[in-house]
Amino acid sequence: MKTPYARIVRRETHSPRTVTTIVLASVIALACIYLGTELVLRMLGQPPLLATPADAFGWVAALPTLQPQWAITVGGTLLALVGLLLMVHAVRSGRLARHQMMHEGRAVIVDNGVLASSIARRVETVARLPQGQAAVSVSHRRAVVEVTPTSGIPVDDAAIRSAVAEEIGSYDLRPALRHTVRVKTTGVIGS
Amino acid sequence: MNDTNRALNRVFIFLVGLVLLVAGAGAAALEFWPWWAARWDDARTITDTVVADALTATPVPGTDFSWWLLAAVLVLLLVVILMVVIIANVGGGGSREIYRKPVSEQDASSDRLLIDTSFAAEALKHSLDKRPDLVGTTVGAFTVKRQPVLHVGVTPRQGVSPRLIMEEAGRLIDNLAQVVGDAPATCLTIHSGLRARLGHDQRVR
Repeated sequence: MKTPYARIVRRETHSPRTVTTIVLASVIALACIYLGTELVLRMLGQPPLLATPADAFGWVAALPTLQPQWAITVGGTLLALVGLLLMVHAVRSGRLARHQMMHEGRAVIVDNGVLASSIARRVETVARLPQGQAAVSVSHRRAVVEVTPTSGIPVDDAAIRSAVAEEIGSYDLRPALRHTVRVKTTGVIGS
Repeated sequence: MNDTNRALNRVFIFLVGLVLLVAGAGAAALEFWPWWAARWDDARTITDTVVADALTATPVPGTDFSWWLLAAVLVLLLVVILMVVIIANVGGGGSREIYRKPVSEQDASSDRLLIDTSFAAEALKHSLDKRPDLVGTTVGAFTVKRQPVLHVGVTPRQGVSPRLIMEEAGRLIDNLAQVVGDAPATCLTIHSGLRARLGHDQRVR
């Protein structure tokens, strides 16, 4: 039996849109419960919570003649915008900020933040910098390393570059990361 | 990595979005599109008479309301039930065992050997929690394509190499496999997060 690792990796690196689904379903359910309550109150001859069903129906029917018209236009535009955003949300890939680390016989998924802090620690060790002077950001296909030297103490540019390349190489990520190293020309006072 | 039907989630969100878009655009267009506003008014006069006729034609005996209102309440109730079903269907797919195979390779109907997820969870958590470079561990199991998959999630401290974590955790899983007799399919996730950032730094200055 073959283990469906491709499926596991796909599910771990993409958003399931669970939160949106639960929120939408809850809102729809609440709206339906409210409408149902108004209908039942009408049937029992009780006063409505907000508006009788007939009033609400009449309001929707009279939309073109209601004043101020601009308020209806703004409200409709907002509603349409929310709808459009939901549709985009449904169609987009929903990729999470994670990478797969290759390993035979196992699915390994790493958050980009773990990669960034690990690269930063390696750079700080190699360049003998205090913690916090190497800033690393990792995106889907790119790692950007920004080194701030301590004033008066030059850093070994080549050593940093090879350390970053070696560190990223050791992770063996999918998709692979390219990297950029920038050493700032102005230093800071060391801590 | 649960059993959530993600395609269904997408379809549901898309449909709700479509309804909102159409309704919102329909309302917003009333001011700028006289033809559309006129159609809205036509529909209003038609529905006014049709609905009024329908409501008076089907009274519930002994009351002043129509069967249609009862039907509407029923439809709303069905929608609420559908929403509850959608919410209930999210998640799930957890597995109580990490290993289930027949005792005999030849006879598939023989007794089956089951290894409980909590056994693996206890063993792995106990070993992983002792490591100073990890701040958190979660162990669980899921069923993916009718196959149990062990899921190990760890949160390392800042700056710890994920390669190191992977090898260490891999060794523990291999040890577990020796006890169990067969390596369970495994998914290891290495997380960053607030706990990693707030945890004490292990670096010697």
